[in-house]
Amino acid sequence: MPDTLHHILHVEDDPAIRRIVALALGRVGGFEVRSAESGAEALHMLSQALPQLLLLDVMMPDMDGPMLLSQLRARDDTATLPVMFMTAKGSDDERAHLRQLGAVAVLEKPFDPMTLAAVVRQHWAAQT
Amino acid sequence: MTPSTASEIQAEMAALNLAYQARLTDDLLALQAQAAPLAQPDVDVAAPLARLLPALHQLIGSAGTFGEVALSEAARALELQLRSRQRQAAAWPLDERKAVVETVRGFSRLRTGQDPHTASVAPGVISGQVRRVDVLEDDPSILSMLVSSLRSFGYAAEGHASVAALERSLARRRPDAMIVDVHLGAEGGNGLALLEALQDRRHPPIPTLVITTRDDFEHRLRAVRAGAVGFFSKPVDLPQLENRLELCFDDYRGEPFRVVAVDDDPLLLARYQLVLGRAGVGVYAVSDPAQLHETLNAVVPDLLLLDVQMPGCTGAELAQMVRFDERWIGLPIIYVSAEADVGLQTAAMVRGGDEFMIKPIDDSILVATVLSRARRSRALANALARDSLTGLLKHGAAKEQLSQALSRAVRAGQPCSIAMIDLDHFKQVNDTHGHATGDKVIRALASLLKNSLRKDDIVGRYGGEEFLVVMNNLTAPAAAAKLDRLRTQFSALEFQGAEAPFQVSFSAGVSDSRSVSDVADVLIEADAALYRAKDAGRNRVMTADDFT
Repeated sequence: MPDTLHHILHVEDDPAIRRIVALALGRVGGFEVRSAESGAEALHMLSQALPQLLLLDVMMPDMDGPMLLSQLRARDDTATLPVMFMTAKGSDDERAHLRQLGAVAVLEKPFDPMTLAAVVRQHWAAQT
Repeated sequence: MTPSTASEIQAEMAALNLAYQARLTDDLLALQAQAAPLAQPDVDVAAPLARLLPALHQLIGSAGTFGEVALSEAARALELQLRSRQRQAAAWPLDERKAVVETVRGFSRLRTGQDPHTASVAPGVISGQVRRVDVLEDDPSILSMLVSSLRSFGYAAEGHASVAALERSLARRRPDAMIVDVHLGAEGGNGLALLEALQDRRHPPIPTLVITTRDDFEHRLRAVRAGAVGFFSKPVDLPQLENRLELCFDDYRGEPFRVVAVDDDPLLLARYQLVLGRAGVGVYAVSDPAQLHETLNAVVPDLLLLDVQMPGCTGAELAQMVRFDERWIGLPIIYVSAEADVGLQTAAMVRGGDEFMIKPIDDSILVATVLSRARRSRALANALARDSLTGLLKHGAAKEQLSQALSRAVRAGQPCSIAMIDLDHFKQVNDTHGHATGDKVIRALASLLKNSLRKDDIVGRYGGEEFLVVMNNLTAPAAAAKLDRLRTQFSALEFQGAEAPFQVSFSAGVSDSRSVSDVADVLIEADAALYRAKDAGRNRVMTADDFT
């Protein structure tokens, strides 16, 4: 059973989604949420403090979610950092591929802001 | 973080939804512009597809999350279709590609929410704030002419044939401005008396333009006393009336005045901030004279308050230094001093000052002096920076604002679009219909641009029949789509010619700050796109990307 989840870093290039995720996980879910608007900003923030969970948009300009994940896996301090992807519903193949990269879960966009926190909590508890 | 109450969350969610709806309009326009090249017969579809797909993907996620389920589903279906097409794009039949462009165009019909900016917009206005103008005029032909031309300028105008009718309307809602003919026939009632009574009851007064048949001192005086901000004798020059209308909005709704105050006494600076701040004036305090130059450049104030005696230098010396810079030649400077010596006052005034106030200064006199100086200073700066025919920014001022907008955009990491617009075959209009008619065409385009774009967008008259438009937080494709709608609207306008009515079109070239952020370079790109639009047959909008 993993520790209770508090700290989440959310990486997403769309400002509207960043704000609503902050609302859904912070105000609704009671998590501490920080957000980064690009892979580069996320790397910078991770070098200062490590969250318990990284919530990662798949499609981003410059550095997409999978690229960022592979960089993290190569670093000692983030090699085992739990990651959940968020993506507009893709095919089963895509989801399986994202899981193979080592994601704890693949969350769907669009999402319901009122239940997103509960979904994250469920996946967090189900990790082995 | 502790969970918030349900009502707090609901309020925040509503605010986020509203912000998203405002953005969605631009997103959908951008999507249309990205899809548009697909409808062309001989085009390499790979590039437009590569831009369209990520934008669609983003729309699926964001639209659905913000409750636009049908839109999200439609985007999803289109994404699937396009992905399967991407592999064999070369053999993609034209009619299928055209259908895709149509599908994208239909997206806006699927949205269930409304863009807060356009929710109450009058026909013909794409975005921006719509101002309500009540018109009182008892001559039906003049009234309908006034109302219809104000509407064509983008105002929500409503005509009233009598004082009683206007009063009924005012009881229902407050307009943003009024245009009142004060010489009505016996039936109409007394316009000037109505105005006097009306403005008495209203705080703040409604900006009012007075139309009169009698232009003499007595009537002008009565108009001023009734709160008029503009005075026009018949026959009314409409574009001039429209210009003045615009001006009175600037005055009433413009940004707050900014004052820079230099004093070595922190208590006095704090008092300026308190007293002037209450009157809505922003005070930027400088306690070290060496910082003044930098502060002036950053704040661009409407007025400067200078202490006469400071350690290291005098106010008069500082004033002279300020005047070294051409930008600040017209900036009003008020000296503040405990010195009652008339000789010293005179000497200080000679060296670049405008007024002298003796400490201790009465609060209400400070506010009145600062407000009246700042107001005139801003009106003057406006008049100098603006073109007299159109009321738009002149070449130099437009370029300066462009440069500020670009650096703001780069700092904020947002795109900023620049368009060069040129009337098609304008020389022919002047040659055939005369310069007076040509001027009307220019003013019509100026008004359409001013009223259709957003409040923080910049519109300048760049040259004779050339205009510069800067649209904040919009990429070139989205800006081009917006301008293209204006192009259609403008080319439908009918002008009265020497013999028969005629129409005029324009061409435009659009670039944005994503690839280049240097003023000269974005202008060159927009200009090049404009020339491509001209070469391609005029009456069209092209972006710099359309030919790279």
